[in-house]
Amino acid sequence: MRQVVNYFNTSIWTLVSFILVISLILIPLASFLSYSFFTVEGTDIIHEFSLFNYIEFFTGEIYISTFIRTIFLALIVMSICIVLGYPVAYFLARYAGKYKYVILLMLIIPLFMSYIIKIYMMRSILGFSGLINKVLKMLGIIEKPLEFFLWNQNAVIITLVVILLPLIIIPTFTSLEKIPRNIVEASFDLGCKPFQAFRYVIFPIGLPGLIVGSIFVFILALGDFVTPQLVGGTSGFTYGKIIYSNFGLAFNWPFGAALASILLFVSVIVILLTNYLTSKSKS
Amino acid sequence: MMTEILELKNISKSYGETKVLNNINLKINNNEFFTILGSSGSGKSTILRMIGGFVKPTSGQILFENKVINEQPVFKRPFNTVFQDYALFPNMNVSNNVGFGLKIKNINPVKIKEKVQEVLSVVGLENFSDRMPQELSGGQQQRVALARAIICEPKVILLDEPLGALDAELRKQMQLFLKEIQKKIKISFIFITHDQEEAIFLSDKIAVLNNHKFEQIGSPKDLYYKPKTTYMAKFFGECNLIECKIIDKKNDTIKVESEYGQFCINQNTDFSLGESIIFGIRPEEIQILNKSNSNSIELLIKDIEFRGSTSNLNVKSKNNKNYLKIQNISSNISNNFQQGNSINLEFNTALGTIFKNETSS
Repeated sequence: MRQVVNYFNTSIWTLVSFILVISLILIPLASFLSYSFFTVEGTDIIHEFSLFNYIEFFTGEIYISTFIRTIFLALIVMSICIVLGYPVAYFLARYAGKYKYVILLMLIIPLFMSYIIKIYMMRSILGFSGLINKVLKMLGIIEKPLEFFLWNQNAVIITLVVILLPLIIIPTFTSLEKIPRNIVEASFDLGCKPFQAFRYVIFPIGLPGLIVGSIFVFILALGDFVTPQLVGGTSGFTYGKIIYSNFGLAFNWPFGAALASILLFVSVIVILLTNYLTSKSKS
Repeated sequence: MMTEILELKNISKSYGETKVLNNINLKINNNEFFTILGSSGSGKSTILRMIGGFVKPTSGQILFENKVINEQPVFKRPFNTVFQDYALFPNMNVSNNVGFGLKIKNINPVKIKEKVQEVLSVVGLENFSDRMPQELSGGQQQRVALARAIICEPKVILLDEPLGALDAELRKQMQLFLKEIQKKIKISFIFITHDQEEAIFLSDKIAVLNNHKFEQIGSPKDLYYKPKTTYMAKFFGECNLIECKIIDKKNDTIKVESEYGQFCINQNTDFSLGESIIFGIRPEEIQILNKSNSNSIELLIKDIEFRGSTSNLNVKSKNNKNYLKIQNISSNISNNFQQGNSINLEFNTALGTIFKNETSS
């Protein structure tokens, strides 16, 4: 009897988890995809299959170039995050001792803050009368405020880096911290100088964490539309912003859905590709 | 051919207020299987880590071939370690793990490959070179770790409780394997364990660590037959410790009085008449006699432990709680006895040990 109940319980839970996945992930995705094959006339959506949106994407003047520019932007953000984040994660994992979790917590706390608030905060730091310009002026280094920091691509990059940095530090820290002390000692024992120990042992073993973090940063930067909206001005136009304007301003949902599907497709390709490359480098 | 290669001189180590090692001294010879034996937390791993260069002594000197190496960094020391949990590199397969030490030394890859195959066949893993460490059993990982150390041709291999994680059966196999391989490759092993039987079986020399110091250093037989302290007497196997007072002394014999009666000890000693001593006698060195003789004592059987072909007896005197253990009596003999019987015993006193009685004033 009990076995029957147990069996019943397990199947119920399996069913529930399947329903959740299907209703919350697969159905929205499917409807999303299907919308991308519809068209718009005036304000009405024509529910008929058409490749019009995709043709528009590949033939339109700005879409592909913006997409490529956004991919570059995301790559730049990712690279800066790696360069800044890896040393922090490395230091935390290997040298911060008993303080490491306190410092890590301080890095995580900003993740709980509203994304919009953080962007506004960055605006007040980077702006014409923002913190940086004021300090530079006070120190007499500049005479009039620098325009380098706001309403352009630089501002988008800086803001995205600040916001996304924890996302690369945390998984990198986790994978570096998991490396047993013995393994590092073994590398010294076998004749490694500190740099060699890093190159042959610590870096390769910690690499999966860095890759996960880099994918987080890349994909979030790729799809972001709020940051360019708020600090990017006119020159900081990104792909995410085009998608946003199709949904929010132009009310062309089918075209927005098509652009978003392309973004999703590229993101999935990136994830699969890194997955393939890391599993290949292991064997 | 025994030349001394490694020496620890007056080494002490403290972590803050806690003293881990107190002024220890150690000499290790070429080609020696040297075991440091101690309970967990006794500081034995610290000694090994000091030799390896992972820990610095608070005071004292580490000498290798008569040169002080205290300040030499790990990667320059001619020693290699086999770590307790093997510490194989999870990102490399077996042959890359084994060849790692040579790769770091920039040796020609073709040569490395040859050497790796050679060493892998020494440890019996020639068919596993492409496996990842995670795909190996504990015993196999152990052998990879050993191969990785051997290939560097170090002067000393340090083994930090390498058999600790293995089950009893595999442990026995690996003990045999370690002993054979050490004789074959002729490199000094410094081996750490808390297992006395393992230490006796493997070692040329054993250093017993107790209370932050070496209690005694010597060959397994020395430690068993000539323990220097009562701690050592009890450490390997059983030993009856009898408090005695010297009541007569001749050239090579002393007569003592104990709670079990009076008997003569056929040994030369520096202790003088009237002094209080402790006489240690192993259970197997007590004989049961049919008839009393001039040096026998008569005691009562407290209980008989039947163990099949042999039995153990515990015997005591009439008015006393303490008892002596007698082991490995043929059951043919012990079956004739009953609890409470009185029997005549004689100590094979030449193989007993006389200790100073530290507790008496």
